[in-house]
Amino acid sequence: MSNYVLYVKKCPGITNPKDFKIGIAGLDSVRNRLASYQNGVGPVWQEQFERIFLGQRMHVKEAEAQIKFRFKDQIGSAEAGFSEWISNVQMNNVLDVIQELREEYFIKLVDPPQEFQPLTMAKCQDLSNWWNVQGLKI
Amino acid sequence: MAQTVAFTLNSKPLSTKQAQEQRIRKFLSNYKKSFDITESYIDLRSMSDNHYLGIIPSREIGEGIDAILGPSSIPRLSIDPRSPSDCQIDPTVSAVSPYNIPKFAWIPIDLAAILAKFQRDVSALHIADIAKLFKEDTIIVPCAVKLTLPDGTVWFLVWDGHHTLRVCERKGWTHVPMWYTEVNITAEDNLEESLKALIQKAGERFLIINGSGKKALTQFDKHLIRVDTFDPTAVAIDAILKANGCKVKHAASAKAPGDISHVLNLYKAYELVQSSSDSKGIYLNRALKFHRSTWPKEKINSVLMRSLAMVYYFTEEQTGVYLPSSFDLELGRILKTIYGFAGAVTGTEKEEAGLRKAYKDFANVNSDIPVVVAAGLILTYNKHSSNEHKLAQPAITFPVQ
Repeated sequence: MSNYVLYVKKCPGITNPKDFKIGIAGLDSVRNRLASYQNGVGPVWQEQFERIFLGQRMHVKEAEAQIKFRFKDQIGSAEAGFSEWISNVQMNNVLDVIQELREEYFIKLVDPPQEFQPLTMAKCQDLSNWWNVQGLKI
Repeated sequence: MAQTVAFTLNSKPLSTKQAQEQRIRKFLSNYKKSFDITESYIDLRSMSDNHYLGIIPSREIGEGIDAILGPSSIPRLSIDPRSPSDCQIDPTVSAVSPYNIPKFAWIPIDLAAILAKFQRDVSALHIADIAKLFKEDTIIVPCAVKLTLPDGTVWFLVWDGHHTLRVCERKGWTHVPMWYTEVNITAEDNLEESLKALIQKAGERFLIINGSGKKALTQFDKHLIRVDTFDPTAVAIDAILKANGCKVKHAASAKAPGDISHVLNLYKAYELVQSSSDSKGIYLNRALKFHRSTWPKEKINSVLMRSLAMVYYFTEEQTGVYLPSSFDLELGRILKTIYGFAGAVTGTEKEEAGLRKAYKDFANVNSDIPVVVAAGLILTYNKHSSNEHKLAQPAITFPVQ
């Protein structure tokens, strides 16, 4: 069963953001995902995932689908590159929904230790090691 | 000089997709009650909630289609198809083309004929079937090419509605309604070439009408129409759905709690008959109730729902016991602990997980999924429960979590 990461990111360099992108990536490819985003913003900013959650692919994919459904009115466009951006929200709004998904939808997501929040490319290998050592393959 | 940051999002033209979204938003802003509008479908039933008596003017649906596809290159209401001068809207069609705007007539039934090159074989069984459903006030008008041969012989060559024509004949009708276009083959024309052109054109239309041009009626469409036309089974299923806070939706939009999109599984679960009462729908109702109380915020996983109905059904058939509500609580707790959300219990065709994966890992074959899941539910319950309730024997056995 593949292990996946659900991430929440903001535009780099923005303080007090009101737009958040949610996305998913395989645990073994999450570094490449960050690298792709980094390439887009150049050397001025550092890309990072503000918050991440781990779980089996089916659970992570369901969480992503549910979040997009819950915020469907705040996703401005289905155009490529826009369809996962939720606008006019606070990070806590997104985190509240994720919490609800765990408690009331019974979607199994795991919080990694605080040291991996936010997740940068430099931490990806350690994250993977942590997951394997902990044996948290739920 | 210091670098500056400028937002660029609105500084370029909209993409095709964004322009479409803008048109759809503008279109929907005309309505108090929102409804789904996508490239695949416009939810007309919800749209009709905005209208007195639920009557939607055709013009408004056309505006919705324009919002999705973009405006037509031909201005609305700019062509009167009845006017000879307006008919030649396609400059590639010659003014002397035999293919013109169809006419309508009641034709003597014996003037109808078949040119088999652009027709499928006729089926007596199909005629018998549709004869039972035939109502003269809702007849679909057959389509034909009216062929006039050099010697003056006239035939209406039917290219759509042949089986309807046959039913009319068996009903004793002297005349049948017909949409037709005309082809006149004169003595100066090459008969073979003219017929070839006719066959080609009619064959094209036949294939389009009966193939790629026909939007098949889905189980979803059939169910909604059956409910609206008071079909007893559909009405009974609808009542069970409503009692459990469920609603049949298109697969693409079935996301809200209680939404269900797989109509066939609904009917299959409904059809399970309780022997003691000789009633249908008992197990469907029970399975939906279980699903809604165990995962109240989820859409209905129809495979799980049907499999649960089978567990109730087979258990009562084999043990004589209609499982009590304490069973639901215990099984619900077990499934949420082991699998989590409802979708993870069964997995999906694309996402092998849960009981589907457990069976595939064991047997290395795919099987009848509702049977596999029903067996898996029984095996899972027997493995993790207090065994307070005796269930049916599983149809198959395999290791479960």
